[in-house]
Amino acid sequence: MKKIIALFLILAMGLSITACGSKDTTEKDTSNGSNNDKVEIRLLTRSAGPSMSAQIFRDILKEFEDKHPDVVIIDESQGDESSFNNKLKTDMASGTLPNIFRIQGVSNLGEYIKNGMIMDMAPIYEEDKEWSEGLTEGAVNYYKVPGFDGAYGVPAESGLIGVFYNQKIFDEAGIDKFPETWTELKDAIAKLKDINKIPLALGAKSTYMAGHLHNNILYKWLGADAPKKLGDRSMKWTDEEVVETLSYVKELYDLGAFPEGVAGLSDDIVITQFLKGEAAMIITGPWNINKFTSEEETEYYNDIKIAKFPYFEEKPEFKDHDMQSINPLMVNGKLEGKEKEYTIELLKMLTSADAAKRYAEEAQSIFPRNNIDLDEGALSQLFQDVVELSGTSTGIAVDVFDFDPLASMQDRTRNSIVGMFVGNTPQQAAEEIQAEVDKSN
Amino acid sequence: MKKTKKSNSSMKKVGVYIFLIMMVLVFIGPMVFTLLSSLKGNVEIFDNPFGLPKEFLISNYITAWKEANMGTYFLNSILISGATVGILVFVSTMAAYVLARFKFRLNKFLGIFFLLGMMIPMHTILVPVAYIIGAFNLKNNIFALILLYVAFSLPFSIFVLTSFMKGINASLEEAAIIDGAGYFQIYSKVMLPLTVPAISTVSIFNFLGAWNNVLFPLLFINDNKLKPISLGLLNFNGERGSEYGPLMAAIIITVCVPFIIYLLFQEKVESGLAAGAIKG
Repeated sequence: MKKIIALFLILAMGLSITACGSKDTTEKDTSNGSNNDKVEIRLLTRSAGPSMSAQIFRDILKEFEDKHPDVVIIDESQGDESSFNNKLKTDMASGTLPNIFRIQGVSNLGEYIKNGMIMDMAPIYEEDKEWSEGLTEGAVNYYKVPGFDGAYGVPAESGLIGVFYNQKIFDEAGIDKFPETWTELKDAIAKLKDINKIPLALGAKSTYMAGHLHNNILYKWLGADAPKKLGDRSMKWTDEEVVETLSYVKELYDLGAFPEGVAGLSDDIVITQFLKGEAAMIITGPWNINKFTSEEETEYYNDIKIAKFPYFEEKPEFKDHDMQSINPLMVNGKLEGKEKEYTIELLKMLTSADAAKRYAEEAQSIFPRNNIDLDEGALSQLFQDVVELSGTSTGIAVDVFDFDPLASMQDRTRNSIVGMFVGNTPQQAAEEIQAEVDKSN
Repeated sequence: MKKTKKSNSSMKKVGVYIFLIMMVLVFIGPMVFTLLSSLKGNVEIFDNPFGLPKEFLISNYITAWKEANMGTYFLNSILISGATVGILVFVSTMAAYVLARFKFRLNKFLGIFFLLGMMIPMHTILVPVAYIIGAFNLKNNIFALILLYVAFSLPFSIFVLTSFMKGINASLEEAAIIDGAGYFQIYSKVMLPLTVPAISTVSIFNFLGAWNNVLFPLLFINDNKLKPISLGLLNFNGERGSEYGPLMAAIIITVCVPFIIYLLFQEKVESGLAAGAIKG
C-alpha cells in the first residue's frame, strides 16, 4: 500500500511539473521561432536609468536595430553597481559573457585577455582610421594593458574629475580666487568655516567620493604614474610618500573640511548640500554638469565653476597631473562571423563622432574625441570650461587601483580611506591596504 | 509596600512603552520616509527627508507606472510568486507529511538533508546555477525561475510544516483509519485542513521571498515581457544618480500586493509561526 501511495505521489508531482512545463515550453518555442534567424547582441554596461546619457545610449541601440532588422539587441545594462557586478561576475564564470561589456580597471584585465574573453581592438583601430583617429590618444593608450600587445577597451566617456565650486560663497567668504595650491586650499577652508559653510561636500558612505579625493591628492603628490608603480609592486602603500598622501586626506578631515557625520553621508545628500549652497566645493565629474547648470535644481546655476584640484608647492611638476574618468567598452573576444561584424559596427556607432556630439549637446557628457563639431550655443559655459580644462592635463590617471592586478583593491583602498574618518591613522590605513596586497603574494 | 510595588510596575510599564514607541519609530520611519518621498523631487527628498512635500508630485506615480513598465511586470510577479507558492505548498506538505508521520530508516537522514538546504547561502551557488541555466538554454524561462524559487524555499517550508504536523494529535488519523481512510485521504482530508495555519505562514514567507527577489531574475531573465517588478525598480537607478521620487512611488505600488496579502492572512501566519515554534 505504501509503495502505491509513494508511486501515486511521485506521479502527481511529475504530472504537475510536466503540465506547467509544457505551457512554458510552447511559449519559449514561439519566441524562439521569431528570433531564430536573428543575430543576438547582448550589452552589459552601466548606461541605464533615467539620465539623458542613458537615454541617448538606448536611442543608438534602437537606431541600430532599425537599421538591421536581422539583429536583436538585448540591453542588460545596470545602473546599480552591485547588480552590475553580480551580473558580470556570473556571466564571466558561467561562460555567457555579453557581446559588449565594461570592466573597471586595467591590470586585472590580464586574466581575461589570457582566456580570450576580451577582443584586441588594435586591428579594428587600424582597419577603420576614420573612426579611430578621432579618439583621444591618451584615452586609447589607457587600455594598453601591461604585459600584453594591443588595446583592450574603447574609451567611451571621459572628463576631468575636478573641483566644482560656488563662486558666490567664495565671494561671501572673501576668497578672491580659487585656491591653486594646498596652502591656499587650507586658508580657503578656514575662511569658509568662518561663514558657517561646509568647505568640501563629501559623503564617504558612497566610498568612491573619498577615493576620488585621495586619487587627486596622490596624483598631485606622486604623479599620475604612481598607480602603475603600486600595481607592479615597485611601490608599497606603506612607503612614506604614499602614507603622506593618506595623511593629507586626514589633514582635511581634521581641519573640518567635510560635512558633519561625513562617514554616514551618501553622495546624493552632499550633492544636495552643494546645490542648496550649504557647501562651497565638491569633487565630482562632468556627469553632474546638467544638475549644476539647471535652474530647477539650484539657484546657483550661474555661480558654479570648475577648477583643478590644488597642487602642492613642493611638487610643481605634478600641477597638471589630474584624475580623469575614462569609461571603456570591451568586446567579447570569442565572437565570430556575422555576430562579430555587427557587434563591432554597433560599438563604432556608440563611440562615433556623431554619438559624441549628441552626448555633449544633449547630456553634457564628454567623449574622448578630438573631431567633434560642437554647436557652442547648445553648451553651457560650465561644460565648455570642463572640456577646456580637461585638455590641459599633462598626466592622466583614473582610479589608483586601476593598475592593480587585485580586483579587491577597489573596495580595500576606498574602505581604508573612509576608515580614517572613523578614527584610523594614515599609517593604519596604509597597512590595511598593504596587507591586502601581501595576502595575495 | 503596596505603593512601592505599584510604582515599580508603572515604571516597568513606562519603560516598556518607551521601548515600544522607539521600535515603532524604527519600523515606521522608513515607511513614512518612502511614502513622503514618493511625492517629492530629488532635492527636496534629501533637503527635508521627513517634512511634508511643498508640492505633492502625484506625477511620480504616473512616471513610476510608465517607466517601470509596471503593468506587465506586476502581472509577471503575481504569476511567478503565485506559482512558486502553489508548487511549493503541494510538494512541501507531502514531504512534511511523510517526514512527520512515517517511520522508515531514512526518515531522520532526509529531515537533516532538507535542513542542510537552509544553510546554503544563495551567492555560493550562483555560478553553477548560472552554468546549468546556460547549458540547458533556460534563460528567459519563467518556469525555470519558479523552480529555482521552489528549490530554495523547500528546506524552510518542509522544516516548518514537519514541525507543525508532528504536533497534530495522532488520534484524529487513527479515527480516520478506523473509518477506512487511505493515506492520501488522511493527508488531504485530515492533515492538510489541520495544517492551514502553517501553510499560510509558509505561503506568505515564500510569496514575499519570490516577490522581492532581484538576483535570480536579474541573472536569468532579460526579456522585457517576462521581467518581474523587482527588476522594474532597478530602472530608476542610474550610474550617476537615481530618480528617487518615482522610485519611491514604484516601491509604494510594489509593496501594495504583499501588504494586502499579509493583512488577509495575518492571523493565520502568526498562529502558524507560534505553533511551529513551540511544537518543533
